[in-house]
Amino acid sequence: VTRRPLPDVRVNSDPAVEPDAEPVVVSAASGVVERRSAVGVERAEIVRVRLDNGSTIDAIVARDPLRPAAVSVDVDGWHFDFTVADARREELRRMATRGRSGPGSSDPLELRTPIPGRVVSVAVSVGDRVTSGQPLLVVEAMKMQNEVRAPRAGTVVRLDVTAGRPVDARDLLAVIEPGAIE
Amino acid sequence: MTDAPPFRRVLVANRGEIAVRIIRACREMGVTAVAIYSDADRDALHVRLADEAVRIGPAAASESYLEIERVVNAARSARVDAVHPGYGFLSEQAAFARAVVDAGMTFIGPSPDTIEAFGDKLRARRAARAAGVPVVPGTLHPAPVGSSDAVDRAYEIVAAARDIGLPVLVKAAAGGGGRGMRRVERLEDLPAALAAGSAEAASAFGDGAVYLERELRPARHVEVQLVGDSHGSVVAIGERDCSIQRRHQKLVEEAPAPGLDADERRTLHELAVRIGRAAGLTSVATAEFLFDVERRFWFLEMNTRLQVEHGITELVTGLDIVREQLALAAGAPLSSRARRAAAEAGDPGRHAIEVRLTAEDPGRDFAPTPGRISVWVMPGGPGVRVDSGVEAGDRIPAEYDNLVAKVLVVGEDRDTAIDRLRRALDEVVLGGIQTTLPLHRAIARDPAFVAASLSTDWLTDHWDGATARASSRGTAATIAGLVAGAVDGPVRRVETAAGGPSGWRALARREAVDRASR
Repeated sequence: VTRRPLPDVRVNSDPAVEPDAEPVVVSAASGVVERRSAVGVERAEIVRVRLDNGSTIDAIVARDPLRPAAVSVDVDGWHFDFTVADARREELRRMATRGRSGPGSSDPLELRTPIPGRVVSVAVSVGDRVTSGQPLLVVEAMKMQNEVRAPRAGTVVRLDVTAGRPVDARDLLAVIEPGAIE
Repeated sequence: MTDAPPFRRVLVANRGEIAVRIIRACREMGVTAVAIYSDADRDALHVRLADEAVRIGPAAASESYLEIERVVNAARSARVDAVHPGYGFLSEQAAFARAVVDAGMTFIGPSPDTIEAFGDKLRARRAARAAGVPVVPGTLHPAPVGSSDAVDRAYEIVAAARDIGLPVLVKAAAGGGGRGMRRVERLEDLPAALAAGSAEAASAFGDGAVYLERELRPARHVEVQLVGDSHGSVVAIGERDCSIQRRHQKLVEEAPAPGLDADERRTLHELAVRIGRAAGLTSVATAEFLFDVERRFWFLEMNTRLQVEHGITELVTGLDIVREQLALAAGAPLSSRARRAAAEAGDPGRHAIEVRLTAEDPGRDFAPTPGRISVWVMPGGPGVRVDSGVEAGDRIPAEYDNLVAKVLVVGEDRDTAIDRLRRALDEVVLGGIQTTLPLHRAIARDPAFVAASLSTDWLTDHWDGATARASSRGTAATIAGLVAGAVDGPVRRVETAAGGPSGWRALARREAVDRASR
């Protein structure tokens, strides 16, 4: 079996349980899952993982089919509830929402894609006025469709992509000139 | 079966691991065991193991396991001859014991009068003192709180506190589990502490009586297992050390108490028997003492019921205490096993340790962690016993006690028992909820514990749970990420033959298969 390289995964702790825990980004280099055996209930598995430091660890891992992003891990007697997200997809989402916190800025906002993919659809044209959070276009990556929304209200002053076009990481998608809509 | 069963049918008026424990004794004795259950426990292990089961009400304990009328009605409708209360819930309610007796059934425990006399800690303190047993220094009558002459008599209690010495504890006469308790370091804080303790006791127990007791620290918590019959015999079959506690909740217990010499052990047992005699004990009970740094014993209280930690005394003495309890309730004299245990109690020749796995997070100040158990592999092998009321797939309800399992070990001496405890806890594979397992693994390796340097302050002095938890978080997150990532790629399932480097994993798999095919 040829293994596809693992996507980088961002693992977030449950903020209700561990408010101060930093997210952990896990890449293919972080380790390898050596063995998985189904035991117990709720799809719990006993998993043996070899970490990048060479150590081997056994853990119980359970995923909820209704909440695919939720992963719980029991290791060393400690129980953790995590949510996982594709690190690049989460980066995309964060970039798309960046700027909301600085409503006073009037610099043009460049929207770029952090992950390679393909533009599926474009919902706006140059000159369109958009509201904050309005869907602008959809990029498909990792077999998932990711909606890119306007981070702030303004006018679309540049649009570099059309539906069906492949994009590389960091490619410019659109530029929005911030400004209130009357 | 060596003897005729003491009863035909027994109602087990409890839930969880202790209900399972009692049902097991009933089955071994040929007694039909009838369980009770609330809506939260319809599928619980104790219901599955019992011969019959009666629903008694909704999940809330106050409307089910704590409702005397419902439990007695269940006993009546099930036509049992006797009721075993277990521990907690109604076990130390004299009114419940009376209701059972009035309904024409046997209460498996001490008489209602004994329960009443020792349920009130102030009465118990007076009775112990009258029997010539030293009680923890303090007052013997309720402090004046809320009464019409409370202000006039305030000087009395302040003077009493000054005599006892600071810091002093305000304790509830009807107390238990630290409720109603306040610690007072300065005399001027005493009136407020009395009022607050009394109010808390009134709401928790329906009795606001409070008294003062000297805070003995550091001290060890040592308790004596008493067994009495209705023919006038009371014996002590050994003591237990329960010093490792958290806010007056026991975490680890061991028997015998390490470091006592034969004379000290004899003195302690003799003091306990005096209290048991004064109480007219006709069943099993536990007399609790504090053992101070000057090696003196001070009577604390007596529990007129089966104790959570009775199992370590069973492992050390070979006496089945629950079985003994049933026989005693039916009027039998002390068994020969019980008499032999009493004769050997000065030098039992074995050592047992119990740890309580509870649904709490020892890394987050013991926050409650109810939930569903996904994986449940308990240890086995020589000298290991697990008492539990759950299995994989079971939910730990938020409504009740957080005890999930007791892991007990026994060995020829304390060092052997600790080796076994370490090994047994390492075998535990438990998933789905946070428990106190990592704390107990740390205790089993802690040099102070191994050296039997025990104190009720152990946890404060030796445990940093937040750091322990944080040190595993990164590893856990990495594992979560690798497993989540692997799902997007081709899933590789590697099945290895049993007998690989890790036997317990094979065991876990086998158990899962067994469960699935059941």
